[in-house]
Amino acid sequence: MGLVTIPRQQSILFIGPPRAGKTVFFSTMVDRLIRQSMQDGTPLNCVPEGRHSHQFVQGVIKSLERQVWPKEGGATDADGKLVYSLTHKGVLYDTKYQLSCLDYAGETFNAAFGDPDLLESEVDDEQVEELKKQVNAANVVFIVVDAVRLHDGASAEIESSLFGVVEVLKKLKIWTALVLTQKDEFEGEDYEEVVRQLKDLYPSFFAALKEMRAPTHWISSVKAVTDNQGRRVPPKNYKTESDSIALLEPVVWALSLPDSCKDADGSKGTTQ
Amino acid sequence: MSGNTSKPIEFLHVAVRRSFEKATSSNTPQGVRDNLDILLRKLGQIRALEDRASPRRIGVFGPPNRGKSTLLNELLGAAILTTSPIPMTRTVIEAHRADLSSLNSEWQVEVIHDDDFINTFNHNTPEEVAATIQQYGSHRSGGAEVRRIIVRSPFNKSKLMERNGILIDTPGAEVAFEDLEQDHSEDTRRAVGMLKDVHVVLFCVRADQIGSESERAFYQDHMRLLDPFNIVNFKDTNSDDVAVIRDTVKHYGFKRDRIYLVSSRDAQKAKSTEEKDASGLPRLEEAIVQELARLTPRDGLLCCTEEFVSVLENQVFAGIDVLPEQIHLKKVLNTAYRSAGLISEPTERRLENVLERLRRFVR
Repeated sequence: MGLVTIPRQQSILFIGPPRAGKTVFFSTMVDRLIRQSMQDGTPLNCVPEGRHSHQFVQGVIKSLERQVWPKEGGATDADGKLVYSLTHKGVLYDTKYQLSCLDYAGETFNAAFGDPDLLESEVDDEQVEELKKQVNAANVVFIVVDAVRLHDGASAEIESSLFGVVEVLKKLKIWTALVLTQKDEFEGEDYEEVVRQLKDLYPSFFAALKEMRAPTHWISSVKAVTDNQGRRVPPKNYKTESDSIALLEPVVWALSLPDSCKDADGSKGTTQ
Repeated sequence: MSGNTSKPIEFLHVAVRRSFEKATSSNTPQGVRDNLDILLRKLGQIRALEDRASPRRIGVFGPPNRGKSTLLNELLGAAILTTSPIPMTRTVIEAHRADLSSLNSEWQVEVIHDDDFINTFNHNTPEEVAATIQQYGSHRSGGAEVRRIIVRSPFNKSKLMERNGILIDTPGAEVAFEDLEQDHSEDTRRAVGMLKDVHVVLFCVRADQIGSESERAFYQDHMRLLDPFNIVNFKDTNSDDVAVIRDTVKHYGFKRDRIYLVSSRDAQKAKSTEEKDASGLPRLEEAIVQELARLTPRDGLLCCTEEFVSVLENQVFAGIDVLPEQIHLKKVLNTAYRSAGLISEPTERRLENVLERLRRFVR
């Protein structure tokens, strides 16, 4: 353990369009971090902040273990913010991060950052304001997007909001990364070629990410298997360690960012 | 070979599932949803059979007095079922192929009771088998206590049994047809439960008795999505085959290409090949043989892809969208092309042709 713990919290936020896999990604990632925390010699310690976050994430993991996606099992009924604290134990000092996933209705994302004319459904204005507030206060933002849907040609509504959020993050000078989910669905494909196709499909979005030096992390929270009905479901006895792909890659990247960019004193992103 | 063709079948299953989910969440016509539903069931069966390498189960289903027992006897090549005008069995009867070397006599009958107790009988003639089935499968002889009767024999005269088939007589739901006013849900549930594990379903009606409302309701509620062979028996009672087909399509909603007009009693009496052919039974037998072949990954991939491409092509004309995600289609294409070289040449050409049609839906 370091000599001191920096009291200021670094906020890492996970947002994204509807049905992008945010909840499953966040839940499996913190589960993996918690399990890793218990191993000897690891410099990381992850704990839930509050009973709600703990119960919610546990519900998601239990659901996956039963080969049921959380939505089907009703695990995503709860509302509010999922918050976990992650402490990185350094030689001289410890740094504390706050990992947050807003459990808002996915459409809120489109309402907050997309073209108002393209909105397909009603949204809660309070949730929209809360999301904007959280983004404003974040030090690092992960935009979580389902690679299957993006590759298939996302709706104009999602495309507009993805570009919109990058514009906002660029103005706020917040460290940003794109997290593509469902990498397992592209097994056997040339991953680099798929990314090239995505860039070709959404040139403005990827150009904006490039300008911000925002990396793309491609992960799988759950390496799905095909059941006897042809449905893609979690594998039997799902384990975050063995049944995921590159799950911790995004958070490891966030921890590697220069200190000056993780400062929470209002002078964010000056070195970008 | 099956290992190499398993992936495209799995990916096709996923793609069809995604199409089906898209169809059910939108205002897609019932017919399109039904076709996708039937395709899903077939793909599930092919994958399950591949995993277990188990025999193909052929179940015969229908109300009493439709000539089911005569039909089954003809398909088995042996008269082991009593052809009585009085419905007598309520017990599932399964015919399994067995090598003579594994049996104590040519015919072995296992009577399985509800408490799992098994009586085994060794017989030398089909008549003896029929007598045992009548004794244990009948209502009047306490047949309700018998869960299942299995007949094992080489069945050398049966094309279907030669192809690793298990023929199943599924009585027990007859009462469900008799009176719609009464609650026969238990009988119906039991009979439909049996059908879940049946790979090829034969549904029997009579050419001279088309028009029963309970039959129609039962077909629509329980048979339609199993894509059965719709057998119109006693075709000898009506000389106008075209009219019979038209009436069954109109009344039951049968798919035209799944209707088989047969006369099992003419087949039973036939003395020449011509007479047998005229009974319609050899044509039905051949169609079932082809259906069994479609349950293998190799032929199943071709047939199911053809059916899926037809659905996708039709949706374009109908102005609806049931196209699965691009990646799912790409995975079918990539893996199916790789398996194409493993199969016989004419089939390979057909597969390549259908894959080219599928390719048009991929960016």
